Amino acid sequence: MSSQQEPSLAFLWKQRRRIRRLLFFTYRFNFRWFHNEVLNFIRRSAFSDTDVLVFATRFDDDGYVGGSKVFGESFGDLYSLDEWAKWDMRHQVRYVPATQHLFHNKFIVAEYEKPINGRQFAYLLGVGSANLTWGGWQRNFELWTWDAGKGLRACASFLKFLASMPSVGKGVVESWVDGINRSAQGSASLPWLFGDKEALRQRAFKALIGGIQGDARVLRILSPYFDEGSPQLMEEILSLLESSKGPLPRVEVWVDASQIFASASDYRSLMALQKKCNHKILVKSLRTKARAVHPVWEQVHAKAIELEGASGSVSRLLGSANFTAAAWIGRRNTETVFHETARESLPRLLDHSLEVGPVPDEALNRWACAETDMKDGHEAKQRYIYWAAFDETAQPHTLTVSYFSKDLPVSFEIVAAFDSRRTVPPRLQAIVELFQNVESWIWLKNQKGLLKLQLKSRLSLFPERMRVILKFAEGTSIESGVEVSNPDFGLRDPTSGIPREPSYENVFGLGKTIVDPLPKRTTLEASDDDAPDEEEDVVEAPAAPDSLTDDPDFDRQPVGVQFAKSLAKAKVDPIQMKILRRRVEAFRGQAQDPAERMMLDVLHHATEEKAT
Amino acid sequence: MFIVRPFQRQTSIRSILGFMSLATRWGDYLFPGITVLTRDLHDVKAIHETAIAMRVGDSPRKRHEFQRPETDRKIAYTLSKLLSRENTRFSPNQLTQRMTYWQRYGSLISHFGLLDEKRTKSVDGYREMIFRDRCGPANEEPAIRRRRITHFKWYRHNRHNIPTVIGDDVHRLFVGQTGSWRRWWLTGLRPPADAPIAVRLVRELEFFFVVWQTLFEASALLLRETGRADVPKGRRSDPSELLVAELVDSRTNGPLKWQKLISLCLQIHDQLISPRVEMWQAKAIKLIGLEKNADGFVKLHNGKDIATLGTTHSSELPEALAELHLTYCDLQGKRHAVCAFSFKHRKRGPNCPALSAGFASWRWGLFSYRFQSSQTLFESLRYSD
Repeated sequence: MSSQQEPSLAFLWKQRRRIRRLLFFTYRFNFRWFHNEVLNFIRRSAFSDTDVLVFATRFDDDGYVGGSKVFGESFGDLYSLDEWAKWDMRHQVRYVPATQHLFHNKFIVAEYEKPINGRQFAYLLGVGSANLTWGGWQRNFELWTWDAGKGLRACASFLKFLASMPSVGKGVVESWVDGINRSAQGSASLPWLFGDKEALRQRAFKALIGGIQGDARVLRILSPYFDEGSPQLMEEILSLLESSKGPLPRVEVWVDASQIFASASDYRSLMALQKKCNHKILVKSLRTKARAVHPVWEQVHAKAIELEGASGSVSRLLGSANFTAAAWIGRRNTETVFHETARESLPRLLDHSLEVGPVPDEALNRWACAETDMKDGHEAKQRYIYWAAFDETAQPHTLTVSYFSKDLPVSFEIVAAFDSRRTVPPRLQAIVELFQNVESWIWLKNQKGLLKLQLKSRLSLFPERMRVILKFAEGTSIESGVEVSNPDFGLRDPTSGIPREPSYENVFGLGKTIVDPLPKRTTLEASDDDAPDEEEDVVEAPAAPDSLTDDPDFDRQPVGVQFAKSLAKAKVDPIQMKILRRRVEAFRGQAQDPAERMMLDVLHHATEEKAT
Repeated sequence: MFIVRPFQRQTSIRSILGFMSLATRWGDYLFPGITVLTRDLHDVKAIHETAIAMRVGDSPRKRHEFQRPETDRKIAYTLSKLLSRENTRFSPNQLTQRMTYWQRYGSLISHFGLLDEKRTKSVDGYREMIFRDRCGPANEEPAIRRRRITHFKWYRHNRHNIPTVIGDDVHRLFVGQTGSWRRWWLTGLRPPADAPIAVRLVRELEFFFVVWQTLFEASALLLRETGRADVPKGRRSDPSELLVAELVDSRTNGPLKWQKLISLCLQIHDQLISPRVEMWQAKAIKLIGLEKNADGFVKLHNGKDIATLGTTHSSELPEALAELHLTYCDLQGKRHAVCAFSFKHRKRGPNCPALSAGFASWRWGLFSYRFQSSQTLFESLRYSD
């Protein structure tokens, strides 16, 4: 399988075989981007029963979470799940608490149908530095490989370790472990980093050094982050090199000079590393060639340790591990590493638009001191929210917040809203007020790093946008948008993914959603010479229904008939019965109209009878 | 191993702060029925002929069918035949539009009720229908018709005053009587007596937009290249002329230029925009409010109005513009197009902006080509040699 064919995420769905199931493991996750721009591509190459499972530890905070922003603050969008609705339960997102371990790995496992032998499945393993975010796969400088098949056993070991975490639970990854173990041959080439890393690290570094023939010419470290343990790592690699390869090579450290990822503390650690190595390290970064006069530094998020031999052979470790103690020494982080040998070094892999340039010492000095006037950024580093997930299937609804802080929050605030383009009727405004009222919630759990809140009342309604703010004793606070972790598609419209209005009509799957889908904007750009800069918001031409049966007004039946038909269908189909009962239960508590409530009560009894 | 490449082509945002939506509404007000997408009356005739051939007036279903993209080929075929009668050869393939004919001409066709008209006209007939005082369709209100034709004629009479601005010409351009006229056309200040009220308001708004958008773009460029965008307000004697001079000077590009532009824009905002923006908004609401809700003419995409942004102190203006930009990118679903998340927190976006304001004769600012588009449709030279 050659990675040269498609050096992007699209490699997953551009294979000539169907995807049976997919497992994405990422540290940062941008749900809205994944939902809007990735899931639909996967669906086109998937079977009707293909599963997509995502593990994530932290929301992407690249500007805003969840892709929605109301009055300058970021909110998750709990309604607009049109693509997920097409997958229903076959797509799951598991947010992992970062209490015991910080799962920093980034890898993707795909199970494909095997073209010849229908019984066995083929596995594809991709590892690298890219998070499952827009930045990770569309913008940053990231390294990845789809040729990591020899790491499948290491992957299975890691998944087994993951399965032992109480927060993951049984039955989630075991089938993956079994499948991979059946498919993978031979022993793990290089174990991934978790647990006691001492021996693993030594093994990885030895593999790196053993991967080149003859003397080493250049040792190249790529990492956006550094910490107080970076000098120790450098010392270990250099001493191993000295003992096995003789004279020390030139050492280059490629950093993130864009300052998007690296902060002042990283540059300070880098300077300490330079000092430790008597300033023999060349600090470099990547920039676009076109702007050489005023260089625009690339946003380097790639992590690799590369050794280039005098003969031209290249050996490298790549994956999720930064050049830090947190990645290579401490027990908290778990990391993915993969060893490969190659013929082309990193500078030769760069295309014509990029070049490697030295980072001046004065710039490093300036960046190392830059944090003093960025108070917000400094405070944000002391505490932050990893993720905030709303469980719609739990009754009453729950909200779980995973955060990083040395102390516990003393209070919280929920900000609920509907999209600013809507006119919110009083009934929905009441939902907003209910969710925003702290008295409506019970603290279920407030242990270090994890807060769980539960609504006091059972509701099927919830606001479109939500944001949670955790407040601490000395007056500081941290906040995050809230995303849905478990949507209840039995109560949502299958096309738009928007929750249905609690009414008896909706029990039969007809009727309307709580709010209408927001219009998708279409911007068309003219190409004509006489108005080269023109751009217009154009309304899509209305499409005529293809046939009479597509018209929603066609075939309107009396409610009684619809009910009888639904019950008849549910009688022979237990899943239909379950959905029907679920809808009746969810809606009857909230129906405003007495006649409607009575109708739903009758339906409730009828479904109970059918069930018995 | 490979360096990760994007798997999707990213479309850009041209109207970086979403001002184009307001400019479009004002353009529709000035020239009802004409948009910048309506370029040639031959297209209008071809669309109308095709609609009649498809018997679109007979039923709503046929009207739906007509509006589908598949009709484009039929229209292109009709247009090709029509042009060949005038000895202009174009194959239907050459005439198929990148955006559908309906998207391009839909508003004109609807405005003049052409789908209900069962007889075609000559190209001159359509020209008269749109631009001559007494030849309008029955469904168009006389006041609306008068407005379009008045603005069209006024611009036709005055457009020779607007030259393309080049390099060293700037100061000479604003000297004398014609210079005063041009100064008004640039800034909206001290309008000539014969300028219609709506044109005056549009020119003022155009100036606000030029200053704010240039400020945002220059700040985003400076942030991208130096990591910060805080520049003190300027104290120059004629900042508007200097702004034009700086914008048309293509020889220099770099942090010094961005700093100059930011400082000029901040000065203009405080001196020439803030003191008059509330008066502008009151006049705009008075003018538009007589006919329709004025919100669409004075409200930005973040729900705030022009006066609120205009009265924001220059020290807070860049951050307010970043917030507006972010909201607009979000509404368009184009987060990749964000140029700056925050100037205050020095958070750059993934996209790199360019300066948009231009001073070609048909443009002078950001959206003035809307005036020219009425002339373009009138002249209909798209298919001429």
